[in-house]
Amino acid sequence: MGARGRVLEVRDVTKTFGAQQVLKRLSLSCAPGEKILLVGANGAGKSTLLRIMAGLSRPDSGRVSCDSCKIGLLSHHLFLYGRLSVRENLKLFGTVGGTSDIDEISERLELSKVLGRPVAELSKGMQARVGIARTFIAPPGLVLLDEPTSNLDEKGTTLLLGEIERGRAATNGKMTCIIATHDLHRLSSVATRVVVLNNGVVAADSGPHASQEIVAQTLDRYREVNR
Amino acid sequence: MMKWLSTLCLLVQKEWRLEWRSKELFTLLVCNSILFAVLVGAGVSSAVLDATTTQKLFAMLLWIVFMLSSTTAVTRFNEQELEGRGFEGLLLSGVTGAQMYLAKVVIMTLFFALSFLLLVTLLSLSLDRNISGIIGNLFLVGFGASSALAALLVLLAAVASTSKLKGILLPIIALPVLFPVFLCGMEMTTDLVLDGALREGSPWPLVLVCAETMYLVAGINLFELAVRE
Amino acid sequence: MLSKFFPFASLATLLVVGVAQYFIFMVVPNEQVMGAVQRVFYFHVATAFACYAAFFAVFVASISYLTTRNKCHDIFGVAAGEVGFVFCTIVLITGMIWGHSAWNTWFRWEEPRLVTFLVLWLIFLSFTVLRNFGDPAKTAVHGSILGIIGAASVPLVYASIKLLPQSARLHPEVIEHGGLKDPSYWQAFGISVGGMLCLCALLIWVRYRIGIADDRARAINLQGDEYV
Repeated sequence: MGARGRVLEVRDVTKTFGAQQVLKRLSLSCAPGEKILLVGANGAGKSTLLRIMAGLSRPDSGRVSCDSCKIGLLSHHLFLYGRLSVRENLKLFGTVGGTSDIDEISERLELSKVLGRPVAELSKGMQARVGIARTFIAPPGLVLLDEPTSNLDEKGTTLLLGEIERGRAATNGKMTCIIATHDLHRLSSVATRVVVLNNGVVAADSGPHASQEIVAQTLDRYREVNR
Repeated sequence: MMKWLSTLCLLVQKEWRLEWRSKELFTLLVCNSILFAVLVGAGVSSAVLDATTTQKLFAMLLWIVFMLSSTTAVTRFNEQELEGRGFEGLLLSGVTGAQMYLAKVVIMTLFFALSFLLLVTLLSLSLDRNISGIIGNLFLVGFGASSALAALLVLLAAVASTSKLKGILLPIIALPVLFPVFLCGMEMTTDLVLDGALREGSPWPLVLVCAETMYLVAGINLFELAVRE
Repeated sequence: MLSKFFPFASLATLLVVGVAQYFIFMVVPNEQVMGAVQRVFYFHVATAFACYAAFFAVFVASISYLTTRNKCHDIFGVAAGEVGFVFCTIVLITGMIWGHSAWNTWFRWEEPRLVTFLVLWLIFLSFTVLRNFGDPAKTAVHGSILGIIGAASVPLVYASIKLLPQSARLHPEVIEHGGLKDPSYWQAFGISVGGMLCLCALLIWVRYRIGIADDRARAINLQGDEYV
């Protein structure tokens, strides 16, 4: 555990792509067990921030420190091998992540029937479920979800929320979850904190472990501004 | 250490499966080998060279074709990592760039070595050279050079795969640096073809080992930087 | 702060290069065997030293950039690479002029130093091509990787060409075999090497300042803030 019990600390992070400065000295810290909704308009910097938090992208300046040794990231990139079968992908990522049992998670996410098929041949919805399986097969300490419901139906979303809860239970409630989303209707109820990004900076923050009322107020203000 | 090695074995398996499913590298190596061998054979034939001259040219032609064939065939080797960004999934799972790099080097060495064997056979037929007595030693030379080639090309393929020129860039950036490997292969093959064995005290195996060590050290340390954003 | 010294450095370089030209064309006597053509030696060898220095600068800048991710180090590496490419071209051309006079042929593959510089020129060329056609988001990292590998390969390239059985000692071993008997030869040689190294450093500095200004302009355009 880092200083002041933070699992993740982002300090003065800046990121520029070509002529576009996406993140401007952004700072954010997260405590263990938080479920954070990261909201903002298109181009606000949500996906970029999540990739930097995951360590897949390097900020131009600033610092990111993460105390969790395992980070999971789910985004529109599957982070899978399309030509390998579902079983081969899950065995690969499960084994390197520390578990060789893929049957349980395959059954929970209703992937048993497609285990032998190459991931590239599945529908977008089923691919998304395989992505969820890859993310949660060995429960990470920090889960970053970038528009996780964009290819999921109602059932898929329910399964995702189930995996989040299962992951939290497996880590004694310490799993921190950051969800970047426009899908406030389906995901706002799970959040204990809302962070609003606008133009590469934190425009509003409900604060850690906020009540549902404060979370709802922050979301209402965000909706008003973006109408 | 055991965990590190078992992860490496898993990654080698993954690379093998990916190549087996796509067969892109294998197909490109085989097609290139056949096409270049045919061109060389036709060219030498039309030049009407005597047997002694052809024997002397054999090593040079073999290595020019092998180098060109390898550097052009590898262009798509990194594509499958970029398609679904599977390599980022592995990085998230705690796999190191060095492990990914070494797994790719192992598989690429295997395919290069097989392609070398095919090319030697095709060229010996095309140029009417009898190499049955030296095929074993020739394969060892090819294997050594294949591993050096693979050690460099895995790293440079990662550099070239995201550029605007894509595959065209790889031979441009790789061939100048591969000059020592080319010379090693050519000289050792010349010794084998003309004398049946390597010269005593030949420095070329050492030069090849030095080149490969340098490429491996560079690759192990720099591959992750090349693939990460 | 260093830019204050730029005018002085430019003047000093101009002076050294000017003195070198004076020595080469006005002081040094004609060489016995090759005559006036031998004066190419002073440009050729001096430029070769400058080329090696530029290549070493690329190597150091590349390692430095990958370690610190300081953009200025990358810009310096690019500058050294471009200037090194130009100097390498001059080495090849002057080498061929000298070679044609000595061997009656423009290029001899048996000559290790000439072939090494040809390979060096190809490495510089590939570095330049990668910088211009590489992935714009990763050009700094990729260019640095190629810079390190390219520079580290040079000794191996030279050693392997020298080991070739047909490798001939065609290159005049002027310095090693005490060829510069007249003191004026040594003076001209020393000053021309110094002048070329100063010129190389100055050109790298100019190209570096252009790179920094370009980067600064882009940053101002982005943020409207002072570049720090």
